[in-house]
Amino acid sequence: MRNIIHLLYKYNAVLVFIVLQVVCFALIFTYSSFHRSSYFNSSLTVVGWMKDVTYNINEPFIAMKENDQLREENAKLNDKMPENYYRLEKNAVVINDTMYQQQFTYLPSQVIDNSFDRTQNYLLIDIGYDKGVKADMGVIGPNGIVGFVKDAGPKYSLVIPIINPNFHTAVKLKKNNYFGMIDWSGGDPGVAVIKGLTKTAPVEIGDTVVTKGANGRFPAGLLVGTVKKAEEVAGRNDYDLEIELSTNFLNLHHAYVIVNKFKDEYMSIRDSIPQE
Amino acid sequence: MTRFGPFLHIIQFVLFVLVQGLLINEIDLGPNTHPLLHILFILALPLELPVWLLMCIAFAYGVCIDTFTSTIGMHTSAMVLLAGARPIVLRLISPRDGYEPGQLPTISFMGIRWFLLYGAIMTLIHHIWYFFIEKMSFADAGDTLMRILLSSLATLILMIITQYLFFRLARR
Repeated sequence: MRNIIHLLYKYNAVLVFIVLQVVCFALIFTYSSFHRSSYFNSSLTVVGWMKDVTYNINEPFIAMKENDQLREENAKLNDKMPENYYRLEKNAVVINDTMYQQQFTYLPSQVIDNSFDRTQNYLLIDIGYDKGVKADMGVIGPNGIVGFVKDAGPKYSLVIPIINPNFHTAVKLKKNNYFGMIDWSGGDPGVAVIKGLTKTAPVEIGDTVVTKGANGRFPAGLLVGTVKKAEEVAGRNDYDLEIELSTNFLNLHHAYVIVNKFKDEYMSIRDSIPQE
Repeated sequence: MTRFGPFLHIIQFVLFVLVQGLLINEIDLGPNTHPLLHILFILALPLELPVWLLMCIAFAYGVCIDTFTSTIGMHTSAMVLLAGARPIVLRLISPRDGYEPGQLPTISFMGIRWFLLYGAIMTLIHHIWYFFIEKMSFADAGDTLMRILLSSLATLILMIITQYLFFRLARR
């Protein structure tokens, strides 16, 4: 026994080192699966506040350019309002429309911190569960999808963007609905890879890629990007496919969190799929 | 340093976390250059600290740094490694007469030539570990190495500038 204690005493540094490293790696590997932990809620509040202060200092410099972009986006949305359409059939009867029920609503937010040049990139947005944000909701920007909410604090939320290896979502080609999974594993923040798109699908450079709407995060048909490179590789039955992301993560400052009102029903239906 | 006691290092702890978290992380020097100036805090701790205490401080420090980048565990792991490697590096490059009590491993005590060697070795150890953990694979090792080299250079330059600008008062 004395020998063991003596040994522990002699190699205490090595021991402390191993214990601390084990803790670190446990944190790294479990982090990808723990949602809404209390540590993250409280740290999001403090760090979020500090990043908010720095953001407010920077904001006047960003705002001018940003306003133009928002104005453009507003104009585009205005174009879609029904009152902007001229009725061709003057004799048609107007009926009250009960055929549609709103499924998705959007919460506007500002991106107060974002990284784009690392491998594990993250965004911080300035709304949290006080405004109705929950983990796993989708996030879009003015030009297309951005990512999904990983953790929501009371006033701030952490978003995993497309340019993070932990982001996966089903996407499809707009013209013929062939689908694959989006994947990003580091490097250029403007380019992502699509895996699993069958070689039988006709693909051309410049084809539009949109969301499939498969996991309840995003409505179907939101812009993701355009095909940049499509090569057939011998021995694989999917394309080696690269897309140019429509969202520019280098100047992203406004984002909308997507609330899916049918999510609970969707999840319960999906969970009833029998697992073998 | 002895005049200020541990308070100097406690202030440094807070300042380095804030400067790295709010300022340096926001500087965009291209996709491959990420200066990680915060390691200077560990480098400049007193020589007398036992290694286990050094590693515990490094752990707490790493958690603070990680909170700002949402990369739980990654900076912490690299910080602990750096703290563990520090006594070994210090022994390797110790001056002929050994270290004097009360000395700090900084430019103002040890001179620029000694610090360049010390800083370069420590920065490389830390950056190699950190960037490979960030990537979590040895694929594209060339890219990662490029990232390590450019970032190390940037870190080293920043560390030297920081010491000439802000560490001078420690001597007097």
